[in-house]
Amino acid sequence: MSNFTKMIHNVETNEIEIIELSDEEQTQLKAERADWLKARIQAKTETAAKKQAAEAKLAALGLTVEDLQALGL
Amino acid sequence: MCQAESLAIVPGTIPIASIVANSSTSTGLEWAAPSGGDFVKVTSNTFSNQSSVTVDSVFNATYRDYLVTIRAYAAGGGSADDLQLQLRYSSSTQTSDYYGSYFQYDRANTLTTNGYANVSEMTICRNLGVGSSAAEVTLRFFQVNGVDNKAGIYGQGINIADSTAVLQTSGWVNVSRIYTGFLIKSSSDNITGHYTVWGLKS
Repeated sequence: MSNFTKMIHNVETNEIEIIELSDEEQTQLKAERADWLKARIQAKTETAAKKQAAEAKLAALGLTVEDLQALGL
Repeated sequence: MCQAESLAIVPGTIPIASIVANSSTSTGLEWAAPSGGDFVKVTSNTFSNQSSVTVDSVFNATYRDYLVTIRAYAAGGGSADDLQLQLRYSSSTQTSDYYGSYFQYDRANTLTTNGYANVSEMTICRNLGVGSSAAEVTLRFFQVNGVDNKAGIYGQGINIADSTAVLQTSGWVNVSRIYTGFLIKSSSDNITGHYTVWGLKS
């Protein structure tokens, strides 16, 4: 595995340690990051789809986003 | 020329500075080193390409609140990572019960929001940049001693990478305990930067 490290600064003793993550910690870290990326992509996809649907409804009424902004909406 | 008698110190008040004798200076006087106060730097440090940065044993009964400044960017070059924060107690990390909200408003007049409840960490900044486009935030940690109420954090900053956005963040952890430190990390990348902690007396 690649060498992931974490830094721990104990202010009381002023000790600073750079510690290499264990295999188990690296596996967990990668899983957490992958889950977060998956959720972020899904959220962005859903937001884009909702925006596209809303713009289609506006267009059906003969309106644009700029028309709504001009009305202060 | 600096004259000691020009300082007006009213009895019963705390002088903001003192002058002491020093025969090696041209005036024979010098400013005394500050011996503490109500707004005191506790620590600072840098970090580079870390999966997480833990600052332990930094909160104690000396100060009621703390001010923390953080500069951070995504070490791996990511541009869609959140900067996240968790509180520490003893040698453990609080990994649940965070409630809070976040928004940023950028130079293109785009508003980004993020409200959350009962999650595993606070969001400090979204869409971290790289290098000179780091995010800079100032956070106030309050009631971390667990005596008055539950601990919370609020603050503001700038996210240069994400269209020079101004950001506001606030959060609260729904578990009463004495917190002694904090941990920062990115959602999907390593981080590089620095932090400084100040203590605030009430």
